[in-house]
Parts: sequence; C-alpha cells; structure tokens
Amino acid sequence: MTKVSLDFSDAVIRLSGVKLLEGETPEDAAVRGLAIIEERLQQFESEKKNNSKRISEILDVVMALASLDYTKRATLSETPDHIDAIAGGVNMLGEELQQSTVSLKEKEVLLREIHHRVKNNLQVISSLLNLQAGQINDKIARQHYEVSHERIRAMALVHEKLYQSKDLSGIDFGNYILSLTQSLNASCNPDAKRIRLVVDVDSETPVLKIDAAIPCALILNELIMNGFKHAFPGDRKGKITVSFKKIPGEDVRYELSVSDNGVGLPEGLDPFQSASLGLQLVTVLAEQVDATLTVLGEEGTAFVLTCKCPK
Amino acid sequence: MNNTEPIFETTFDPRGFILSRVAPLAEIDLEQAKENTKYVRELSGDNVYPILVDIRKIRSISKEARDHFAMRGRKPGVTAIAMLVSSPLSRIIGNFFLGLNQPVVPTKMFTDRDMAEQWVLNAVHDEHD
Repeated sequence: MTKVSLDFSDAVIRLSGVKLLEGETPEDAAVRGLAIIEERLQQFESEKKNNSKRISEILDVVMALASLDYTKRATLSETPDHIDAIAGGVNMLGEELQQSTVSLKEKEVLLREIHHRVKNNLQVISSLLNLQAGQINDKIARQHYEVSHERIRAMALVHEKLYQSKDLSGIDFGNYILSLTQSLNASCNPDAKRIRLVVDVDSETPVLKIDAAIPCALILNELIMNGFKHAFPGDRKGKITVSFKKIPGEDVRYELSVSDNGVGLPEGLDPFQSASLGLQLVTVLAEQVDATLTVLGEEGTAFVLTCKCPK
Repeated sequence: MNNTEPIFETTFDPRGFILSRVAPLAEIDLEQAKENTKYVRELSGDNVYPILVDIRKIRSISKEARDHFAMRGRKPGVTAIAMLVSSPLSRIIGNFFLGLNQPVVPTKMFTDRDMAEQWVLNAVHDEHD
C-alpha cells in the first residue's frame, strides 16, 4: 500500500477543488475549501432528504395500488430524473389498472344483467306453461305441463343464484338446494304434514359452475318431484330427505342423495332402463356431470349421486 | 414548460417521413394528441407515412393520449413509428408503447437518432417496394 503524507490544508484544498489565490496561504485557502465542502454536504443532505420523501410518495402509490386504490398518483419534479421515471411508470401502471378494473366491472354488470334476464325469461316460460296446464282437462297432459314448469323453474333458480353470487362464476350448491326444496315443497307438496321434506347439507358446500349446476339442479328437481309423486300413495305418511355432503376422507368428492321411506320402486323396475322421461333425464344428466348414480331399494328408495366438485 | 410553447413540433421530412418533436417537459393530454394527429394527416395529404417521434424531453403523457396514439379502432394515420428516447422517463413511456399501449403499426424504440432515421427510411422503402 502506498503511503500518502498530506497535511490537513492540502487535503481540504484537494477535496474542495479550490485554487490558491495569489498571495494566499494554504491555510486560508483551506478555510474557503472547508466552507465549500460544508455547503456540498448540506446540499447532499437536503437532496437525500428530498429523494427519500419522493420515494416514500411513490411507495404510497404502490401500496395504494396493492390495496386496489388506483386513484393515487406520484408527483413528478421539474427536472425529471430516475426517480421521476419510476414515479411516471407507477402512475401509468395505475392508470392502466384503473381502466382495466373499470372495463372488468362493466363486463361483470353486463353478465349479471344477462343472468337476470335469462332468469326472467325462464320464469315467463315457466309461468306460461303453468297457465296453459290450468286450461288442460286431460290429467296426464296437464301433468306433463306441470313437470315442465318445475324443470324450467329449477333452471331459472340457477340463474337467479348466479346473478346474486359474488363473482358470477358459479353458485353455492348447498344454498341452491335450500331454495329449490323450499320452492318445490310449496308448489308440489300440498300436504306438507303428510310428506315431510328434510334437507341435510354441509355448512360449507362447493361452488358449482353453471355447466355442472344446471344438470345437478335438474337431477335434484326430478328426484324430489318423483318422491312427491310416487313414494307416498294414498294417505301414506313419510319423509323425503335431501342430503348433500362431502365424502369423508375425500378431497373433492361429494354425495348428493334423495331418499324416502315410501313404498319403494315398483317390482321389477330398473331405474336405468325406465321409460319414464324423468328417470331417463336423471341418468343422462348424471353421465353429463361425470357422476356415479346408485339406486338403493331398502325401506323406500334412495338415489345417491357421487360426483367431483372441484374447489 | 411554458404554456404558450407548442407541445409538438411536427414537420414533413422530404425523404418521406414525418418528424414530430415533443417539447421539453411536455405533458401530453388527449386534446394535444388529437391535434397532432390532425396535423400529421394534413401534412400527409392523400398519403400515409412513417413517423419519427422524438420524446427525449417528455415529462408525461395521459392514458387517453396513449390510447389515442395506439390507434386501436381507427384508421392508422402513419405506417410505422420510431420513438427516440434518452431520459429514464422517456424510456419508461416508450416501453409503455411497446407493451400496454402498443400501436397497431410497427413500433420501435431508439436511443440513437441516426438509427431511428435509418429504420424509418427503411419503412419508407418497404412501402414503395
């Protein structure tokens, strides 16, 4: 290492860059130099403080963006430097995010509106079928209209739940079951004391996308109506239980079942080969959602559907 | 910048391109952007030319102005855009035009004026080939 020997005045003169004036001693020049160094230090401290303030302001904007507030902007200085470049970039990102959020919200409003209109239109169709049914004298023909009315109403309810949902991507199926059973009990079960409808769903149920929600809704609608119609002939009393539960130990598999303690399926009837449109629908729709359908015939009838409901 | 100073200084280069220089510390808004577009169209007459935009001294440009220069949903008034940048701020703005606000015509960013001119001249010749 080279040894450098400088006295204090020389060092100050070098660092400050002052030039020796004519007749001036190095000590006097060092005094001038010290004043310059002091001034530079003050300037440096002031710039440091100012830069720190500007960076804090940019950080405030970044934090606002992170909390989805896109309205904050950082101020740019009169002589743009690197910090202004960061501020300008953050400001422009904020503007872009604000714009994207606005257009996303507009699309969401539009989608909600579409589901609302679909629901309204389905309800109109359903009501028309119901009115038409009232004018038909033939019992079987009238029943066909009534069943179609309920099927369409079950679909309308999916759209209603969709536009009421938080993110429009799907519906809480447990909540749907509660609404559907309530509606069916009111419209298809005139003697609710004789046939009790019991609902047993997990407190936390999966959100089903519309592709899965509509078939599952129709299956459920079909099975409950079937129970009301056939399980308790005459004055026979009983109950229909609708259950929707996560299969213990399984991650995304759920069991949807509709069971009753009624008369059971007619002797020799294979529900998978039945000529009934309702049961055919149940079989086809179960395949559509890749579900396994099991029919149990001890003490009444139980339709058990096992399906995957990804989170 | 001085309020009376024009934001853009736009001229036609006889070699076949438009040259638009953004004034020092200019803060461009939609109105000014549209005004320049109108002037470029006037200069171009019945033709469409590439443009060299010098944004080296720019201070800011609004979202609406950026979207306007991206020319989405309207007939482009230029065939290509060369952006001349130097300051960190102009580089950031230039990069927005290469990413989020990408114009519908070929766009490139340069720090060297000669290279920018060369690219624009190539674009002129490509048009004529």
